[in-house]
Amino acid sequence: MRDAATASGRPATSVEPVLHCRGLRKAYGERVAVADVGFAVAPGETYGLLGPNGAGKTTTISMVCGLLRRDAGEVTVAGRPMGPEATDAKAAIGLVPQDVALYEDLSAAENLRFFGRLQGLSGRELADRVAEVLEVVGLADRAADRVGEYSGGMKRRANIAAGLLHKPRLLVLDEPTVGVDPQSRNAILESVEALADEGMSVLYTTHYMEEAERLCDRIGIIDEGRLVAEGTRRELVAQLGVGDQVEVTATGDLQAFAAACAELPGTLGAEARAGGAVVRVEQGSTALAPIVAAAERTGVAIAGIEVVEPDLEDVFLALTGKALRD
Amino acid sequence: MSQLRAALVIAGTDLRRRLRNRSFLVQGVVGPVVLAMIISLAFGGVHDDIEATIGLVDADGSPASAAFVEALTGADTGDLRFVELDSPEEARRRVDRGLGAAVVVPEGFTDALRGDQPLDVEVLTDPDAPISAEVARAVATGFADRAGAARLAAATAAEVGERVPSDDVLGAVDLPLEVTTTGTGGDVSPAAYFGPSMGLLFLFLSMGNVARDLLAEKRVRLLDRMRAGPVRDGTLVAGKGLSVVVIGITSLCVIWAVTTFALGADWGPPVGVVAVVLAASLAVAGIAGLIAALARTDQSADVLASMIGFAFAMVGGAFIPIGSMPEGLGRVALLTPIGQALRAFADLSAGSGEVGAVVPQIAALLAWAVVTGGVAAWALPRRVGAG
Repeated sequence: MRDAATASGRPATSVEPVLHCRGLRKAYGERVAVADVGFAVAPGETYGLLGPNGAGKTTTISMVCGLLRRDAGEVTVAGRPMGPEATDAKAAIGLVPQDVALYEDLSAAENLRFFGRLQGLSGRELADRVAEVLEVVGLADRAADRVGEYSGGMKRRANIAAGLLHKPRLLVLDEPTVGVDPQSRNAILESVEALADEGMSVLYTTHYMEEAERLCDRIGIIDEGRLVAEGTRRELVAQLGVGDQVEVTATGDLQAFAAACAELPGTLGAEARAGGAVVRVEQGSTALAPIVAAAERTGVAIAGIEVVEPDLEDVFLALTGKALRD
Repeated sequence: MSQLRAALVIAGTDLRRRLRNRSFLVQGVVGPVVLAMIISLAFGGVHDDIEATIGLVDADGSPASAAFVEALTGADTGDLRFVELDSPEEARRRVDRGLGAAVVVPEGFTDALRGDQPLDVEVLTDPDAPISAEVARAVATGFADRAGAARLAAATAAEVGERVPSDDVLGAVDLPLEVTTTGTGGDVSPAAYFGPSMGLLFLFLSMGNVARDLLAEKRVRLLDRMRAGPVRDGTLVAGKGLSVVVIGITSLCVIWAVTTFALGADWGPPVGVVAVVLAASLAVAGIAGLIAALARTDQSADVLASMIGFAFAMVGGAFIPIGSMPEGLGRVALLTPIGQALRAFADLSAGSGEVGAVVPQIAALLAWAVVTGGVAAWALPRRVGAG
């Protein structure tokens, strides 16, 4: 985890966040799409907004990017206040919309030159950046082909490239893997990881728990327009208070083994089951050695042992009372 | 990044895409030129040389009807010829056999002028010769009007003198007729009229494409990607509008060149033509912007553009020259941008004036551009933008 921020949207460290938003609200008539959402993204941090479809993720990033007039709240990007006419703040953002926002009748290179020019690039600098981002997304050899002739995955990669041209301080990706085949999806995730490793700040929205877990330093869980929890994966899971689960396959006196495990420090509970025992612990990785020692003490032979950590699906279920993909 | 440069970048990319698109070539150039050629050929005989033969029958035998026949048959009317026929029966027979039309002054016509129910001058026509029919109707109407006026004058004179006009008085009323040829200073060839008219028709019909493209770009969030950069909403709309203006100018200029070199059309003084082309293109851009602001779906954009385009074209004289319309309809035509543009093009082509003569039409077109473009400039950013 890099520099963190609190759930109120206030940076946890003294480092100036690249993105800082507070109290965001947007309503369409009676329907409130986003209510009092606030978070911050530190330099080099990948922040995920995780929530089901219709949770308010896209509305939130539309306000973050100055595409949508907010009813209330503040957004600053790279220290500049953001709004629909805030061209300075917008220059610090690279947006990758959920749809393939490219002209299909132009080649990838032509599309990138167009969006690069809109970002103020020109001449040699523009040509170099177009070549570089095409290389990053693995489309250099197809640069002259029309986007309409690309596969779905290639279009998505070109879509990401267009957001990188001007080396933005903050890259905003809105569900970039929706409807993408597994191979292309993996390529996209690797690209995002590579950009994060280079120190780019990333705001990533998704309703795929695995993507949030894989990519994001911190995650904000959003549901029905509200940010219901925020933190690292471990911090979010810790909020559940259920700990990890160690599943032991063994033979011998399983009741004695379970009782011994229940006495171990950091153990939340243990019970014998057919063919083994289940031990609930605060942290699975540190509990393995004491559990193996308890098995030796009670004469139990271990055939297999596995640590099962609660995931964000469990967190979301606990926080909202519904499954992430509802 | 200046907003002007951003607008030029957006307009340039729009143009590149449209010029690459074959449908633009078909809709913006090939279609108008081909239609203009077809209509020019169809109307060619009408506009270049009116050839017609009209029969005249004097069954009345009065001095007035004799003067009428004599005046027309003796006049130099070019390819429009009048021949005297012996009787109404002969006239019917000749019209059945291909004579364009005939005018019959019926027996007792002058006597009837004294009574309460005057007789009508009869016009015999061939359905296959509409031009001859029109000429014959005009001749008959002219004669009847003059006879009626003479009758009124004689009756008035008799009333003042407290004398009942005698048969001789009315019968002796002479209707001196003179046939003179007047010109308007020049003719507009069919190609010079229908070239711009078809160009304008297609331009107005293409307004739906502009609205549809904008809706599609909003749908796939292309507009959002542009707006997420350092580009103001107004700049985006200005760039899109600029591309429409350039497309309009390009399309009309290509049609101008093709009709000039291929069909021998004379559109008039180039400076005036360019001024009208520019003003008309601005008007198209303004109206296209308004349609884009009003349309909610691709279908509604198409319907709106088609309705407005065809209405302006039909009323504005794209199919029937304004000069050939009834007077009232001609005035209505000038309420439309197509009507104003075509009047300007026709005036320039007829040589009735230089640029100064079409300033009112250019001003009217610019008024269309300012009003519709102003509303679009206010409404469109709200449609494409921040909501």
